[in-house]
Amino acid sequence: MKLPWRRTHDEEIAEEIRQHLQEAVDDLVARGMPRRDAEASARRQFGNVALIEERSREVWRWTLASDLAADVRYALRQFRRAPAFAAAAVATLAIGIGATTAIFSVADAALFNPLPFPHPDRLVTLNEIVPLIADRPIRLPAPDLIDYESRSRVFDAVGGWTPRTFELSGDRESERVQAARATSSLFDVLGIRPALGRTFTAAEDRDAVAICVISDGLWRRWFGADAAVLGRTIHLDRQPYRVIGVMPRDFAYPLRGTDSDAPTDLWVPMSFTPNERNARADNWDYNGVARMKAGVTVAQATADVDAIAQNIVRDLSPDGDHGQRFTFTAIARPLAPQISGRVRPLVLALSGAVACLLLIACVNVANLLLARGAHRRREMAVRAALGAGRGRLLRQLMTEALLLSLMSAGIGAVLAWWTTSAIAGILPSRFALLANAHVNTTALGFAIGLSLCTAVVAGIIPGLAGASAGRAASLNVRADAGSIALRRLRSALVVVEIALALVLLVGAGLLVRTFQDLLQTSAGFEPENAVAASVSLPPSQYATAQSERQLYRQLVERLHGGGIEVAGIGSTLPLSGRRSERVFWPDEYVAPPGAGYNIAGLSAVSPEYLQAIGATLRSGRLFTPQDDASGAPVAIVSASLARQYWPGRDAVGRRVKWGGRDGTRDWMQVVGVIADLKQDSLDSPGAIQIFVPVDQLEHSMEASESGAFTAGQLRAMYVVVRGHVSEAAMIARLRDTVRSLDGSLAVAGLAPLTDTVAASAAPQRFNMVLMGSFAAMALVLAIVGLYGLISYSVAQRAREIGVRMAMGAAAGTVTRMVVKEGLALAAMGTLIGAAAAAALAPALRALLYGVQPVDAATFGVVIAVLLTVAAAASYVPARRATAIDPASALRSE
Amino acid sequence: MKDTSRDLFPGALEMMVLRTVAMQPLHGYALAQHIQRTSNDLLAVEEGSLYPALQRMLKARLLKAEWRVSSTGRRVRVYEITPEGRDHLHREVSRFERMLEGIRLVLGPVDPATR
Repeated sequence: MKLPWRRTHDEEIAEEIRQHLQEAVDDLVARGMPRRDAEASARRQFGNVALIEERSREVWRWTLASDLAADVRYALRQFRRAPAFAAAAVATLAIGIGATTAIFSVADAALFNPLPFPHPDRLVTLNEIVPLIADRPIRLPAPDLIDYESRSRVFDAVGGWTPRTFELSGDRESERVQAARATSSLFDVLGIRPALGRTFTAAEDRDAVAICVISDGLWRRWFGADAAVLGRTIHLDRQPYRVIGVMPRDFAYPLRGTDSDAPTDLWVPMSFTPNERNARADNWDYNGVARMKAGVTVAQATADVDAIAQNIVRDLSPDGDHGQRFTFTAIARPLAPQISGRVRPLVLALSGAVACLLLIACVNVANLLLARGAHRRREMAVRAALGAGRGRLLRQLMTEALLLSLMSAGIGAVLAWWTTSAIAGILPSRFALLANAHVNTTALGFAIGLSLCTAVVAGIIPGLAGASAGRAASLNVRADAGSIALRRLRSALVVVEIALALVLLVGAGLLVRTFQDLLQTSAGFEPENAVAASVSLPPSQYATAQSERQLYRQLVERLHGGGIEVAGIGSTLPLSGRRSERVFWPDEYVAPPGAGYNIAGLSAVSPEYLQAIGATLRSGRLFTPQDDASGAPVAIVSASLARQYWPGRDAVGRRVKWGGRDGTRDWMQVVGVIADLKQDSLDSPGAIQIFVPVDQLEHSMEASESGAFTAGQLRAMYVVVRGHVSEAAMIARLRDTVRSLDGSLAVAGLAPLTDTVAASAAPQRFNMVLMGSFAAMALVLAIVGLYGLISYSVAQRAREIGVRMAMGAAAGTVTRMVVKEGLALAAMGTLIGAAAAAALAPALRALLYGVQPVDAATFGVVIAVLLTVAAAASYVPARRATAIDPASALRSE
Repeated sequence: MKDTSRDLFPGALEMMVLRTVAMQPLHGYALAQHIQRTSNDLLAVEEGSLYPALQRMLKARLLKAEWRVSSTGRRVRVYEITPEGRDHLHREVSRFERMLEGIRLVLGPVDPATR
C-alpha cells in the first residue's frame, strides 16, 4: 500500500538532487567557468550521486515488509534470469530434504516409538527357555500363563493370546478372518479402550461366553461402520457370537509384521479348555504379555516370573529320552526392542543412505552457488562500484539464499509427506510397523536447517569475495587468486560427492545382488503353473476326521479336469510360515551327548500333494493312492532330516516314529527323500520335515490322542492345483469347486504360487528399491556436479584452449585433456568412496543374503559404472571445448 | 593543512541545518551555500551528505518541506522548521554547549603545580 507513495518519494529525492546540481552548474557558469568544467566541479562538490540518493531513500525504508518485498522481487528476477540454476538448486535441496525427512520420520517411529500404547516401556513379553527344545525364548504352555497371571506381584496386568482363524459367514460371501483368543486382561495390559462398547470381563472369559470384540477394519468392511453394531450377532465357524465392542482405528494387536502377517480382525475370549489347563510342559503356543508396575525393572520382573517357573519345575516328574530332568526358566523381555529389532538393520541402513544423500545434495548446491557466485563477481563488483553498500549486497545475497532454501523446504516438505505415505503403501508385511510413521517435524526442521546453512554459506562467500576484493580487480574478469581457490574448493566438493555416491551405489548394488540371489534360491518346489488356497473347516459342521476327509476327497476329485492335471491337499505350504512341529525319533540314530529333543515339522498330505507343489524327489518314491488307511505306515522326509540323522547313508528304508526313543508309537517306513522346502521365507534354512499320507495320520498316533490330533491337523488345509491353463482359470475353478461343495466355506489366500514366492522376496525387494532409488539420485546429483564443474572449467579455460588449438593441438588432444580432468576427480572420489564403502558395508550384513559385504564383483561393477558415467559427463563439455574458435576466444574480453 | 575540513561529529550537520532554516526557509542548494559561507568555508561539507540528513529530519518531523518556484524560476523544495524542530534545536544546542564547556576545561591551560 505504501509502495506507490514511496515511489513518488524516491522521485522527489532524485528531482531535488538534479535541481541542486543544475543550480550549482549554473552558478559556476555565471562566475565564468566553462560549462564542462562546471559540471565536473559541481559533481565533485556534491559527492557520489547514486550513493547519496540511495542513502536518502534508505531513510524512508523502515518498513521491513516492503524492504523484503523489494529484495525478494530482485532475487526472483535473478532466478528468472538463470532458471536452470534455480531449478537445479531447488530440486536438489528439495530431494535431499524430502528423502531425509521421510526416512528419519520412519526411523524415529520404528526405533524409538514402535508401540502405539501408553507407557510402552513398561510392556514386556513373558517367555520360557526350555533347553531340551531350543536355547532361544519360546512361548508359554497355557497352565504356566495362568500361573504367571495369578501369582506374580510385579505386574499391573498379565495377559495372554493365541492366534486362530475363523470362517466369518452371513449374508455376504464368507471370508476367513484373522482372530486372536485373548484373555480379558489383555486389553488392560495394552491400556487401550474400545472405541465403541466394551471388552470382555474375567467372568465372561472363564465361562466361555460367545462374544467378540471386532477391529475398526472389520466394522467398516462387514458392518459399513454402523454404530448399531453392538449386540448384533455374527457367525464364526458357523457358531453365533455377539459383538460387544469395536476397537479404535489404529489399534493393531497382535502386532503386524511381528506376531502375524495379516491384521487381526477380531478378538474372542481365551476361555481355556480343561485340556489346555492341564497341558503342563506341553503346547508352548500361548503368548504372554504383561505391563510392569511403575518403577519395576525388567530384571525384577524376570526374577519374579522365574521364581514361579522354578516352583512349576519342582512339581514336574523327570522325563526325556536322555534321562535328563526337564527344566526351564522364565524371563520377561521388553516388548519394544523385539518389535524394532526386526526393522533395525534396514532402518539404520536407510538412515545412513539418506544422510549421504542429504550431504550430496548440500554439497551439490554449495557447488552450484559457488559457481554462480564466481559468475556474479563482476555483477557484485559493478554494484559495489555504483554505490551499493557492503551490507546492502550481503542482504541481497542472503535474501536469495534464504529464498532458495525456503522454496526447497516447501517442495521438500511436500515430498517428505508424499514419500512417507508412499513408503507406507508399499510396505511388505514384515515391515508393517513402519506404516506408523508420520512426517517428523524435528527431522524436517533439521533437514531444512542444514540446507539453509548450506545455501547461506555457499551463497554468500563468493559474493562477499566479489564485493570486497579490489573493485577494479574484480571488474577485470581475468582469473585471479580468489577464483583459483574457489575452483579448488569446488573440485574437492565434487570428489566428496562422488565418494558419497559410490558408497550408496555399493549399498544398492549389494542389495540388488541379494535380491537376485534370493530369486535364484530354490525354495524346493516349482511355483510356475500352480495355484494354492487354504480352506478351514468349521468344527461344528465337520465334527469328525471322517467328514473332513470326505470333503477333501470330493474336492480333489472334482478339481481334476478342465486343464488341471494334479490337485493335492496338504497341512502345510512352503513359504506360508505355517508349521506343526513335533518330537520324533529316527531309527538307528545315536544321539550325541547333551542333545535335546528331535523336532520335525509334520505335514499331512494327500498322495498328489508333493507333485502339485512340484517338489523335487531326491531318492525313493512319492506317495501313491495305495498309501492309504489299509497300507503300511510310510513317510517321506526332507533332505536336511536325512542328512542330519543318517549322514552318508540312504534314508530310504529307514524308520521314524513320533515321540521319544522309548515311545510306543508305530514306526513309519521312509519311502522317499525330497529336496528341502523353505517353510518361512526364501532366506530361511531348509526345513526338517516329515510328510505322512493324510489317510494314515492315525496309524502312528496313540489311540488316546489320535482322534483330536487328526481332526486338528486336518481342519485347516492347503489346496494346490497344477495345470496347463492360465492361473486365472485355475483360480476360478478352485473357487467354484469349493463353493459347489459347501457354499459357506471361505477360500483364503487364493493365489498363484509365484505370488507367494514374490511376497516372500518382498522385504528384500523393498530394501533394494529404496536403497536403489537413493543411490540413483546420488549418482545423478554427483554427475551433475561433475558436469557443472568441467563445463565451468572449460568456459574458464576457453582462452587457453583457443591458444592450444591455434598452435595446432588436435581436437582429440583437447578432448582427452578435458576428459582426463573429469576422470581424475572421479577416480579420486571413487578411491575414497571405495575405501569408505569397504569400511561401511559390513553394517549391511543383516540385510544381505548369499553375498559378502565386501563383494569384489559389486564393487567392480559399481566403480566401472561410476567411471563410465563420469567420463560421459566430462566428454560433453570436452566436445564443446573443441568447438571453440581460437580467434574469437583470443579476441574475447 | 586540511585540518579545517575534517569530519563533523554526529549530529552537527543536523544542528546547523536546523539553525539555518530556523531563521528562514531554504531549499537544499541554498542551505548548502549558506552553511559553507557562514562557516567561512572552514567546514567543507560534502554537499550531497545534506540530503540524507534532510530526509532523516523530515521523517522525524523536525522539518517540513514544500515544492515552490524560486526567485530564479527553478522548481525547488523548500525546508521549514517545525515547532518540534525548534525544541530539538534548543535541546541539542544546550547539550552541545555543555559538551564544549567540558572539552574546554580538559583542554584548558593546566597548572603543573596542581598535579
